[in-house]
Amino acid sequence: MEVDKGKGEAEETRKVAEADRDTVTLKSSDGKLFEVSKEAAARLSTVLAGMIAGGSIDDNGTDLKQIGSEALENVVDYCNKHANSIPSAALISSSISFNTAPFKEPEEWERKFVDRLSHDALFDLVEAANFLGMERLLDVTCHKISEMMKGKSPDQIREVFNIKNDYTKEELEEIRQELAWAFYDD
Amino acid sequence: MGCSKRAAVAGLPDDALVEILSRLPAKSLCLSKCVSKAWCDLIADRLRCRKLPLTLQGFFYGCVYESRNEDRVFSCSGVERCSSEGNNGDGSEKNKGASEDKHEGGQCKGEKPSDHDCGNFINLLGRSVPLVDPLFSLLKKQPRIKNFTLLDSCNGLLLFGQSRYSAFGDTTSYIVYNPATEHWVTVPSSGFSSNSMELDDDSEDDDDGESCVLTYLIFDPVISSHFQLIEFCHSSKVGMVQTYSSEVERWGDRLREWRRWKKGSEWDLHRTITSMRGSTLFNNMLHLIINTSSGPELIAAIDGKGKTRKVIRWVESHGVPVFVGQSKGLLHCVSVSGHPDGNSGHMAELSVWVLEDYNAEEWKLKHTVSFSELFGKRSCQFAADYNVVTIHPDQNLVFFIQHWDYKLISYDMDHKEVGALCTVGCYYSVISPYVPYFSETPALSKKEAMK
Repeated sequence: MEVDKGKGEAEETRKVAEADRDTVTLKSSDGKLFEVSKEAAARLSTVLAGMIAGGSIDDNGTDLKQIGSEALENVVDYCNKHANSIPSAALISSSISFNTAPFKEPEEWERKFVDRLSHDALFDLVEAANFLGMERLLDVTCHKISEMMKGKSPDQIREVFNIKNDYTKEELEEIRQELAWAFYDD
Repeated sequence: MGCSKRAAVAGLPDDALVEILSRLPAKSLCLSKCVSKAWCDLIADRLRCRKLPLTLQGFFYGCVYESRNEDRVFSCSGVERCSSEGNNGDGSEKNKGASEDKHEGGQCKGEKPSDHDCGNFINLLGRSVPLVDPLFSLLKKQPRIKNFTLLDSCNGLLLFGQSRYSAFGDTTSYIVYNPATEHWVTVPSSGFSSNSMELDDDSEDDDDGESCVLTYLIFDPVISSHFQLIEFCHSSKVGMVQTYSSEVERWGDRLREWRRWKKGSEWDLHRTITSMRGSTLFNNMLHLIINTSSGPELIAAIDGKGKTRKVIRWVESHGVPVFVGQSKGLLHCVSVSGHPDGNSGHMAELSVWVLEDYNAEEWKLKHTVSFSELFGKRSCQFAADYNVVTIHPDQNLVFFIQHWDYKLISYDMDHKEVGALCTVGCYYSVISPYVPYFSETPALSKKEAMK
């Protein structure tokens, strides 16, 4: 039992030592600094978890050159909200239940979180989540965009994504015929 | 800044775009091919080849379709299926009582399927929506196709039966379909007719009197780009096996070898094909659990020409075999045993056996679970209470359907965990595992093979 006690004490001292560094500082491409809970960052982002474990976190702000300040603010906001609203046990159980577990629908707060974003901000956030290896955020944002696309015509999708139609009339007609069933209204 | 940001949206990294596209239902995804050439390429190549693992993707079920101008409801062409008597889809169908619900294998709850609700897909991969059209709209639009019922699946291809009714008996022709490429081909009837009208004339023995056909699809793209069908036919007069090859595009001769299937001989054809015990293509041979007239069940390995290549003995003390399948490249057999209440049909536990050395024929016990743990019931009867749907091809998972609450459940042998996947609706007599196959198969074309 004495061993246990000693262990407990060591735990205590370690906790105290780390207390002043339970956040990490991230730096956006345009030089803005953001603080995020270390625990949440490591739990939600495989890339940040790797950086934290590998000691490549810079106390003066870890450079994330691929991510703009607006997107990074949303990432940090998401991490902090996540830390407050979802018990980690729920996350863990959903991740171990083999990969046959259906995609868990966004929680109410996650829905609200992505709903308030503009199209541009949403697309930027997808990019950031993809870059940072944030599986859940990627799920939630991609889910939102795919919801936006459902039931839309190719013309409307082009509008949402701001894509130029590079098909000729003939080419388009050919594809339409091939995919006739998809154009068929039910 | 606003302007250049807009461009960045269109230039979303392919990875992220794939993430978005892989969540779209099949129909929206196909429409998205029309957005731009880059999208079309991405959908055609990248999504299919890279993003989707070639493993068990999910299950098709409830795939029964009847064109509205057809006036008879599809009667089964295989093992017993739910048949609602000659209703016309006009909502006049009465609520079937509990007796219907007990129907072996094919429950029917609620309404008969219409043009719109045939076909369901249970997606196991969760995040990505299947790139297949579970409603088979393409098939339904073919003027020649009046009805179809899902019978079997094999390595990415699906086998449908199409019934044709006549006073002289019902015949079944087939459609072989790849939902990933949407290519398909029809296969004419073998000529066997299940003469349901005259059934009463010579049915001294009710159990044995009904006609039935059970057809299996054999397709292994690693070995051949052609497929074969094996049709097991049983009626009050005959018991036989016929085979079709897509290579020669015709049905072969009735096999002499199949005399062991004849009435009163070694193997009991009727019990074998009505027992709903599953089958698997292994070493390019169909493996089936065979009922023998006397003695324990055995497992037969049948090749695409219908010849029995191997008979694997089953040991009676291992229990009653209820499913044969494969996982991790090894042949597996699921058996049940223990009679908790003295009733021979009710069993207490389920075991999974594996044949580690195919030639040694030594079944090794891999796992045992009691029905209380698995289903929450002390004793269960195969087919009446549950069926084994499949064994996962690369994980230690077995899937079951519980007939009392229509739940599809999974059992994880490593963690001894039961997971409820979903509740299936009506018409789930066939729940077919689906592993996609994305290449084009010369044996399938978009056109009908026969005139």
